[in-house]
Amino acid sequence: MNPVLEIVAVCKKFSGVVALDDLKFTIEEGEMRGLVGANGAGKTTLLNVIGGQVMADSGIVRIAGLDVAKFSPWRRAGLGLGRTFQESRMWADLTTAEHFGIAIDASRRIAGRAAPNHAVDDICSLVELPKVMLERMPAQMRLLDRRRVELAMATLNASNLLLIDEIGAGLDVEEARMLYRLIARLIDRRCVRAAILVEHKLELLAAFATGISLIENGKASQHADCKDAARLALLMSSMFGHRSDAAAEVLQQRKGLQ
Amino acid sequence: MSELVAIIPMFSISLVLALSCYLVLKSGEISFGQQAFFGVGAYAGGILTAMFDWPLVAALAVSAVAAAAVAGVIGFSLSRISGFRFTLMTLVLGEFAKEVFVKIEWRREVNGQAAGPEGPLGFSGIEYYYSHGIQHLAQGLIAASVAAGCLVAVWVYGRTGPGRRLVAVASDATLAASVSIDPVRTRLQAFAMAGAVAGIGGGLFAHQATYIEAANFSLMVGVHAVAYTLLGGLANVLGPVAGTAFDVVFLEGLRVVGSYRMVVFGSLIVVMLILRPRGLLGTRTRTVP
Repeated sequence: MNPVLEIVAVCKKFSGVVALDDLKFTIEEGEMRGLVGANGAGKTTLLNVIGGQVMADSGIVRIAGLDVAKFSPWRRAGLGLGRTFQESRMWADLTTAEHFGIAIDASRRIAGRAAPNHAVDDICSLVELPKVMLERMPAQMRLLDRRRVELAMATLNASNLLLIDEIGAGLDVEEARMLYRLIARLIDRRCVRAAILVEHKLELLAAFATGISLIENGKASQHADCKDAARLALLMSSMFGHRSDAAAEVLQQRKGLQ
Repeated sequence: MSELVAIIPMFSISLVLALSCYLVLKSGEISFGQQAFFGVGAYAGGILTAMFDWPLVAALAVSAVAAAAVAGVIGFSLSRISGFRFTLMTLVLGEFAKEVFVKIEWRREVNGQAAGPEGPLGFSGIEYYYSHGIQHLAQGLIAASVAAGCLVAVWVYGRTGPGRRLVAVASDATLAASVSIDPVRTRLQAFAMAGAVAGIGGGLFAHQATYIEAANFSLMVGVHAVAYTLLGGLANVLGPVAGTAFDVVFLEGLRVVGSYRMVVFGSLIVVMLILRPRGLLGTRTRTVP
């Protein structure tokens, strides 16, 4: 079985500034991989290069064995790639139900029978979206519910891989925890094969992700399995520098969140 | 009564052009070039009935196809740009088309008389209604039913997949692409359809006017059509109907304001933009209750 995602030697420069440098990265079935790193380390650029919002200068991006590096975003989406964005994005003039309708229709059009066969009811219950939200406009919903809708829409497409960019931004820890639990459940129930998450709250990743990768200077410099506490502590200490107490604190908080 | 009959064809033709503008506006762009497709339809329809004795319905169908084809070819590159670049390109293309219409010269002998467009002298003798004995009332009926057909087509389009995808693309193309909608293709479809609708309107216009020339397809025609469409609002297809009714019936048809029509119309647009920026009928965007 091919890995869900395989990135080989991807480089990306923005007007001379190196954002991704000979990056190598693999995601296997069932993984929920967190991406951490300083601002500007290349986390969002990596998501964009996978999603096609940004084209890599060189290298290979394989989704389920197919090199999509030259594909436009909508074609990649059609291959089972779902995505949510750093800022909450919905179509301002459409209700939630219309959002789902358009997304289901589009994924069926492109993937035909191979499209994941989701009913709107199932999706609502999967992301625990109250039914009354179906007739609401984006402006009438609070951020947490909007994020649920975005997650559901992304899942409608994402038979292979979900790309989640700071879904907890602007939410409190309890709300963010709820969303992470939902994402973990989507993977458990095999609605998606794997997910990649960019997140600043490390304790959330430590609590829910299967593994964490540290992005530094445009490279995936370290990986840690979340079950491996020693390795996780090492990754965090190289992230926080001398402040090993911060790493210990994260590991402590992780227990509380689980 | 006779005034009303006189208004119907004018209203119908303006409405069809407004529907064309409405489709482009729905894709999130402003086109100042729909008069070009209107012109393509006018010339195509006029040539077929006046020079080749085609029936009107078939000629109108070809008007639609010809204008859609031109729009499709142009839209292939236009669908990749947006904002003021799009508007500027449509404006330039509209002016270009006007220059092309001046050059159309094609004469053919029909029933012992030369017929067809004469370049800068225009295209006269599109007398299908006259030669087939179609009276004013019947002309109005033809125009009104064609306009109603366009209205229904645009309404259906908006309720089905392509139209809904268009709203999504117009609202946030990146988000649309992330759920496997092809933004370029979606906008191209809409642009070609807008071309077809404008072409039908042009075909009607040619037969109503019996004489057409490049000046009929000037920039002001396109700008004006966009303006009264916006005046009506983009909430649904009734917006263009309301905008056209307001413009044609009150300002032109009833001549309430006489020759100050365009002055009043311009002021009205300014007032509307301040008071009801989303048009007479508004849109469905609601605020938090």
